[in-house]
Amino acid sequence: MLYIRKKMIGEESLLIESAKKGDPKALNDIFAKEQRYIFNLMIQLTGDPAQADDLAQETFLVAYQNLNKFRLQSSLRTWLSKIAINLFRREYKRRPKHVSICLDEIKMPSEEDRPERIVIKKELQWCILHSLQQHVPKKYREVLILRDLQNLSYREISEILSWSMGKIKTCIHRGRKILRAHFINGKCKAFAEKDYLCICEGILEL
Amino acid sequence: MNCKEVKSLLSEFCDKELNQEKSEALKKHVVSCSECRNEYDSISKMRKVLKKLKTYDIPHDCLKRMKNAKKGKIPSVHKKSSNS
Repeated sequence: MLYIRKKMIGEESLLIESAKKGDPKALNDIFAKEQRYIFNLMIQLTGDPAQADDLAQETFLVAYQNLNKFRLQSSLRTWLSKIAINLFRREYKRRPKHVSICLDEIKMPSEEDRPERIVIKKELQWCILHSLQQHVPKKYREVLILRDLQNLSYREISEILSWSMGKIKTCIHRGRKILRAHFINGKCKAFAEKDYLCICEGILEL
Repeated sequence: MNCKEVKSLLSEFCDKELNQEKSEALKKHVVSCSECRNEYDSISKMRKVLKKLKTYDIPHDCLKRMKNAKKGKIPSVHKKSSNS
């Protein structure tokens, strides 16, 4: 496993070096495999596809402009994530938070109204993201997104946010507790009751 | 290991970021303590729910604009930034 990872990093380094020397194919290859990751990270951070679209583009623009400064001390994903988080933070300060739905405002339509149930199902999916964005303090939110939604290791998150491992551990733990409390207070039975079959037809069901 | 210590380490344990010695001590405690076991189940559940969130395909237009951004063209909405 470690060998495969080292090999991947080695290949990535070679591509980055070629891209720095102006090889357009290498540049395209290194960024192409991170596009989906960066776009989804931005959706999770902003909760707004249009804003995610803008910020994902800007992430690659900034990366392109600063590629020569990238010293390969971290993976490309870690470096791009750092740029993405900084751009998001700058944007977050500038724009007002948008209003979102909460769990306690959702009423599930009856079984006969299938199309409506599908819409609500999608809303519930968004509701998890909105709960993260609206009810979890920023300090914990970014860490939770990087860990639980993007599956990055504590070490990678520590590099992206420039935080100590101790702070990462504490924030992940506290963030999860806050989010869980919000779901329970919002009467999400999937969290409040063990083995409950959820109304959202699978999204929250385990 | 007491309950307070176990609860503070549960997230790390679920993420497999705890060293072997502490993991073993924590497992031993969780098996015999229902309160800590419930807390462990709850954190596990939370992780599973978040991991089940779907990821999105990149819209075609966005893909096109990202391609332009990679060539160093400034996207239409934002101005040039010096972040690195």
